[in-house]
Amino acid sequence: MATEELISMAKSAILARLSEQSLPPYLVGIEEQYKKVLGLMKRTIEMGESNSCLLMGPRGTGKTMIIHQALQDLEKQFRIPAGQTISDQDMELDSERKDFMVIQLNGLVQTDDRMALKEIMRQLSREGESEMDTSTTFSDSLPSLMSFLKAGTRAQYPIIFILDEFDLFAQHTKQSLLYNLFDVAQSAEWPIAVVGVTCRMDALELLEKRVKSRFSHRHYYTYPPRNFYDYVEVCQNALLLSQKDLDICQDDDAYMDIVWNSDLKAKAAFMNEFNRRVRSLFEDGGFSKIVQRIFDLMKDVRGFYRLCFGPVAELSKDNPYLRPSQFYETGLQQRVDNKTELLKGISLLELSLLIAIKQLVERETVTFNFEMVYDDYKDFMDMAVVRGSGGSSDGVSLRLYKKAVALKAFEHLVEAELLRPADVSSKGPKEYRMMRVMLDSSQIADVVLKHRDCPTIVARWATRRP
Amino acid sequence: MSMSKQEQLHSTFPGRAKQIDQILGFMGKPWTPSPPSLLINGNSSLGKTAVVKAVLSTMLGQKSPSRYAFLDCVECHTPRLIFEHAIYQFRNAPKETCLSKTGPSSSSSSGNIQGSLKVTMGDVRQGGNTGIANDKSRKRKRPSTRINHAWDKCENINEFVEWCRRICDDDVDTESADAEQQDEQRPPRGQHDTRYLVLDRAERLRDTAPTLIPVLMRLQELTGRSICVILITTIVWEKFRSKTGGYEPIILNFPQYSKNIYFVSSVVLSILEQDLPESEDKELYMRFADLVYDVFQRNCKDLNEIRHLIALLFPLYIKPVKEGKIQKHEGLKLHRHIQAYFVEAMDKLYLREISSTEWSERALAIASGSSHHKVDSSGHSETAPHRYVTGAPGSERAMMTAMDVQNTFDLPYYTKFILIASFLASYNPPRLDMRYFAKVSNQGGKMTKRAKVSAAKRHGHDQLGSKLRQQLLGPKTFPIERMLAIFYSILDEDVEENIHVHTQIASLVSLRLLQRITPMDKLDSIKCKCNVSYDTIKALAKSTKFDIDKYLYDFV
Repeated sequence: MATEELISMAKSAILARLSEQSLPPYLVGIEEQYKKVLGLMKRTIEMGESNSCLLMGPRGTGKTMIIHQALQDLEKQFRIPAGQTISDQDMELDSERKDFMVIQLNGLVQTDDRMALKEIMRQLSREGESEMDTSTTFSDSLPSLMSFLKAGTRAQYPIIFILDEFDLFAQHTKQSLLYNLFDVAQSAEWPIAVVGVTCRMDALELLEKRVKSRFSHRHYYTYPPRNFYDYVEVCQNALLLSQKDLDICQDDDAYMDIVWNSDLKAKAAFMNEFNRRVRSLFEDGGFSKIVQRIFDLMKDVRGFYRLCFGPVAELSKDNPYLRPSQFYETGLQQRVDNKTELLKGISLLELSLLIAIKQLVERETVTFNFEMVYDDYKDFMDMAVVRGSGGSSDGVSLRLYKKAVALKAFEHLVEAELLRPADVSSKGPKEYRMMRVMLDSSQIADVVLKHRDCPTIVARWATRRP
Repeated sequence: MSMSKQEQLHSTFPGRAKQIDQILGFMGKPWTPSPPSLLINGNSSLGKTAVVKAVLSTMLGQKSPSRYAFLDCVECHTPRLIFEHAIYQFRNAPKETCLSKTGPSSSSSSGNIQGSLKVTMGDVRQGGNTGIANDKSRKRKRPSTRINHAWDKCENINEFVEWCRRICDDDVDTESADAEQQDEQRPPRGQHDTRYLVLDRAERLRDTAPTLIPVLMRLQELTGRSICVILITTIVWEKFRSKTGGYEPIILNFPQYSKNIYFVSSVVLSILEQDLPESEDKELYMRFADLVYDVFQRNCKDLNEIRHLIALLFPLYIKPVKEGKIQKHEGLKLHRHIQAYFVEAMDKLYLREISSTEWSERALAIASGSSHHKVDSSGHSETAPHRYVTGAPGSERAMMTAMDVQNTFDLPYYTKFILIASFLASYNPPRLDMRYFAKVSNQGGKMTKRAKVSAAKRHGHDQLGSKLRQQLLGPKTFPIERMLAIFYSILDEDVEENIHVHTQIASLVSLRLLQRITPMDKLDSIKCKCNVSYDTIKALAKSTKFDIDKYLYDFV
């Protein structure tokens, strides 16, 4: 029933949503903020009003999504498609339809004002709106950009500036870019909207006084899903297929065809079946427990998205629908402590050194050096050999390794960054360099239990209280 | 077609089928959206790099402007190098890497053991990275010979993001031309193939630029194109997180290979089997590999190290078999024969105290020396095998220790005492100097055990041999005057010229045996630390017939 092609379409659509390349069908919990941002941008385009605002919220709460959604909607509403000539009957509509420009900057990418300015020029010239020569120096190009912006009138094309990672722009020297943008926005010469997006709640405090006074002090907050039902709805949205995903036309004329067209019929049937399975997936006890756990831990939708990648990628002709059992394993995989996983593969000598470190830490020797660890290890080995159980209780012989061999193992632990030098500038022989352990003693105990070939005597040593 | 590729990959990498399937699942069809970033995490030498490289080159290797770029962050240590190398690789055809080259079986092709050993070492130690580096630098010098695009400049992240967009967009045109030839499913219009940017040893990225990791993690969002960044690292993701956070990658863990004794098909052994030299007995080789793994896995899980050891030790192992002294099936005898070499290998070879070529040359020289001996004294041929089995490692051990002595430098007589005195000054508490070194005291230098204990109690230590004794804490700084006082005390004769003593101190500092704590321009009240280990100082004291243990407080 479900063909290869259908499944690959469904897969692409869902994966695009999971990797945040495409937008979900509708917004959950952030409609209010969306309306405000959209309204602000709209006013800039329609009335030529200049505006500035700041969108704040923790990561993964949908700030960028709001912006993308708003831009997409504006595009639909206002953008004049290229090459379209204004026909006579559209004349009265034309006053409403206006073209506009979007300039997107990201504080991570444009790490200083000069680079940001260059990028603005580039994006402007790509849109074909400016014939400015792209002068190289900041001091040259800033006035030319500003004079270009200030020379405009309300009739000019509105420009929407999106400043992602706004807080990083505030760290540029003198904040001259922000100052000038806000200044243009305030002086209402060229209609521009400046939308800052940041995850730092104190972003406003970062602004200089002269910059702050030019900012409109509109700020909107986004929050993670307030309750579990909202969270589930967001998650479900990402997995549910829509008609668009499968290329099912929504036009009324075409709708009539569906009845007759068996191809579309099959598509619609597949979609319904797929969505039914997704809904029942969320009713599955084990699955919702996994979702609940992610929600309890971080309330981050991306946590769920990461979980979904594997199972969605597994969809095939033989397994066209998502099954809860697929999620169990990935759910477990996400839950594991990566450090413990990493430690499961270390050698017995390294494990012994870690146990020695654990013993030291439990004796409140928080910083230690290799000599101390080796001394502890040696004590244990001496004892084990004296007791005679080091010989062959597990069919393996414990042996005391030489200091140099142990030092190599110790350095391997440092390389894996499980140990960290306690002081920055430590001179002298490396055996005496003071270290700190980056593991909890319970983590070490956990590793000892899970380690594949750890003799019982070593395990007993690990659990012994000092 | 893709099934056979998958099976091929599975057979090349034993024990990695699950990981390969996961990566393939994430990749999907060339145009399906991929996760923005992946983090591949696992201990060293678990095939992380090899698997990723092989998967990418088998799946995407034929496409002409390369769909993937593979960078090593050690080699590309600045953002600029990363960007430029990535752009270069994306704009050109991928290098001709086939499975057999990247797989772990690479080094076994040559029949000559010595030859294969060299290949193994080159391959193992460098992980094949030098090859890439050389290749690249060659290309960079002569950009016109093999490529269609010159080296492009890219200085910052901003330009890189722009380049990524351009690279992906370039390809939409070429692809539509491509697609006609291929009878596979056509990608949706306007979609371009996913690009993969692989960064090996990504832990080094943290040292380059603070914003680089967050940018790479969300490169897909920033460029608006389908680009997947794969980081390969040995450390956990937590260490990568930046202050303000960012997009989190999907984490893929490579677990340790298992060697399950109850099943015949052990993953470790099947990996080691790929090194089997031609014209060697497989059963014998596998028995040996098993033995080496069992002996060394206690302190070293690194399979590359073990492969290296096997390659070096195997000629020694089979030598008696080749010479007909021991039969192949006499496992126990062979075991006993090689056992002695294992201890040597652990100390010398594993620690790289001498180079492996040096070691193998010497070991073979000794072995052949004993066989020469056998040829010479053919009259005593019945004693020769016995001599060989036990004698050779013994004579070798003698040579090794001779080498160790050679390693310890020789110093002038008085300088040795200066060094000993500074060692004592570094490790003994100053309060006890009176007891140990005062010449008037009748018990000078003869502090009894009881006296030591009482001294320890007086100074707040509970007992001797505690976990915080100076021996473990390392050398303390001492004023040079104190050291000189000890020096004159432990030296029985008089040293008349003080100036020479100071020259000696200066030369010890320049040899780094003493570490000067006070700055060089400060001439008065110099403070130093002794940088020498206890073993060295013990050997030194022995050579001057000085009983250092008598003067050391709280040493075990």
